[in-house]
Amino acid sequence: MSDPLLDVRDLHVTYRSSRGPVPAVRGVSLHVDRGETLGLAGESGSGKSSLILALLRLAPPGTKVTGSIVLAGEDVMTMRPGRLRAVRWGEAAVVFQGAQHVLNPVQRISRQIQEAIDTHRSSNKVVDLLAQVGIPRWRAHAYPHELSGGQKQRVMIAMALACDPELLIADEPTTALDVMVQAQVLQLLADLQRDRGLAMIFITHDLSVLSTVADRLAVMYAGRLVETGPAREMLRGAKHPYTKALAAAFPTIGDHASRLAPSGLSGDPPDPIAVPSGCPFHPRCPIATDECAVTPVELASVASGWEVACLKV
Amino acid sequence: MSSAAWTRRRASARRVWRQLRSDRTALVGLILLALFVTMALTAPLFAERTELQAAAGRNNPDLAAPSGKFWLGTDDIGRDVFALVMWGARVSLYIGLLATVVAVVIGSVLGLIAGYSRGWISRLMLAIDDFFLVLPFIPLAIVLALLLGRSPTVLALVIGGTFWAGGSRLIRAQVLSLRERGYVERATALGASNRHIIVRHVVPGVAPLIIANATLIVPGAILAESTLAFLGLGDRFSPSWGKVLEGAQASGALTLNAWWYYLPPGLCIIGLVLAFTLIGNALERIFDPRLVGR
Repeated sequence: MSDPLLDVRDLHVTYRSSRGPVPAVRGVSLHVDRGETLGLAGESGSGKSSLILALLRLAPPGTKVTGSIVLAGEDVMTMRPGRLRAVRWGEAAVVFQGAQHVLNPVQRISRQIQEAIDTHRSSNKVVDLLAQVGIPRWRAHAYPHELSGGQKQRVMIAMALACDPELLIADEPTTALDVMVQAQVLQLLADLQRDRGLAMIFITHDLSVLSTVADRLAVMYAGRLVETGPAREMLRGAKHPYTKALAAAFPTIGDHASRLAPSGLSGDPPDPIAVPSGCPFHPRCPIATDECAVTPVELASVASGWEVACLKV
Repeated sequence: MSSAAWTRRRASARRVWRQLRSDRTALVGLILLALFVTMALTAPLFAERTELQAAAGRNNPDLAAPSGKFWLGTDDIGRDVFALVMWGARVSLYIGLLATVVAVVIGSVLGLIAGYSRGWISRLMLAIDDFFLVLPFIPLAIVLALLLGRSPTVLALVIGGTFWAGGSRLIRAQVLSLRERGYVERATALGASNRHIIVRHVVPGVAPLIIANATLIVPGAILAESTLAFLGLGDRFSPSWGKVLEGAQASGALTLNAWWYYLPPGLCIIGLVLAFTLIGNALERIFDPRLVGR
């Protein structure tokens, strides 16, 4: 295998706030190969969205980002503004969460997709892109409010494909959609990825979604990776207690035992300004010992391509 | 621009026009405005421009009451007040509109920059805005007019150059909100430049605000011009309505009860200000649906 399409090393993202610096991402390294889907999971506030905003240097001004981001052999961190604009969408496109807010309510969807095409002088046609995501030609001139939630999300996907990117970053593309529509959108993304050989980063807090789309998983907690490995094996036998809790939060249909034994995590994700010492997960961890509160944890390999940051594994 | 965009724009302009006509207060404003515009356009049909000169009134009686010859009587140097009022419509409208254009352009550009930029540029713009917002208008305008001359154009520039701060503040506030919208973030991620984002997503969002604000600046500018003229600025031989009022006040027309001298220009000022205020309020209601039903 050649170099990965995306290679992130020791990424830190620190926001400025009135309460002082807020470290949202604290040293994350990950990579995505061509044609591969990486599922990025974690609770709200775990740093998933901060991480992907930093990938295209979209973090708000004043945010401190350090580490290295190499996309298709180019260093994103040192890119000149003109090149950066070309790379945005040209090489890596984003399917944002909440298509509602990301589409301009007073412009027709055809015009908004055309906007992406024009920005990068792509040769794609709006109707072709819409056809690929299953939106009929006659809907092209609709306004966003005339479409359903699922259709809007499809429009966002069509827009993401406008410039034939190599990497698709899907930031919780199925939240706020009902389960049936969610399944359709996931199927669409999976098909597109297979047909076009796209690499994809799929962000969600819903591990059950990832089981159908991801090749590999990366689980974030308090701005760090706690476990990363092959998706199927990880969902079946997660090593880190946090991944286990996330996986157990979804009941298995037809399994009465899982309904009667409510699982999940108590407590809230830690305040990024005051992250607990040692393993940041220890205050909520069912198997934590005194040692966990003082000893810092690092990712350690447990199998080929499978790493866990836990003293108890 | 594609022709589809223009068709749509024409359609929305038609819709605004229809809503404006169906609004009774706006209709009153439009009729009043049409009346004053007609006055300004037809002034030469009723009176020669030379009738505004001092020499024109030499052979006429001073402060004569309205008659068949002088519909609105004469002023203190024998000029026809009807001619003064007709020609005054031109001066007042010209100054009011030019001042508004100047104020809207400065206010919109600075408001856009202050709202869209971040850091020291934004703070600098805000400081300039604050400065003009608290400046006492009349002393400033008098000093500027004395320095730069007192022709109608200079007066309009002075008024426009000091009247933009409130509108700029409004536009900045709207831009601050638009800047954080999801579709602006999407456009950034799309690789769009700042110029593209401003032209495509921000300006269309503030355009209705700019238009409604402009129609509300006009009455202020006209009143300001009248005030300055009444205080002695402006050209007596190309008089605006405010200037005519000054002449009436200075010649003691009020104590002599020469109502034909001061009432017509005063009513015209009120009427024109009322017209623009009514239209402006109606436009604001049309463009800002949140005000509907209040």
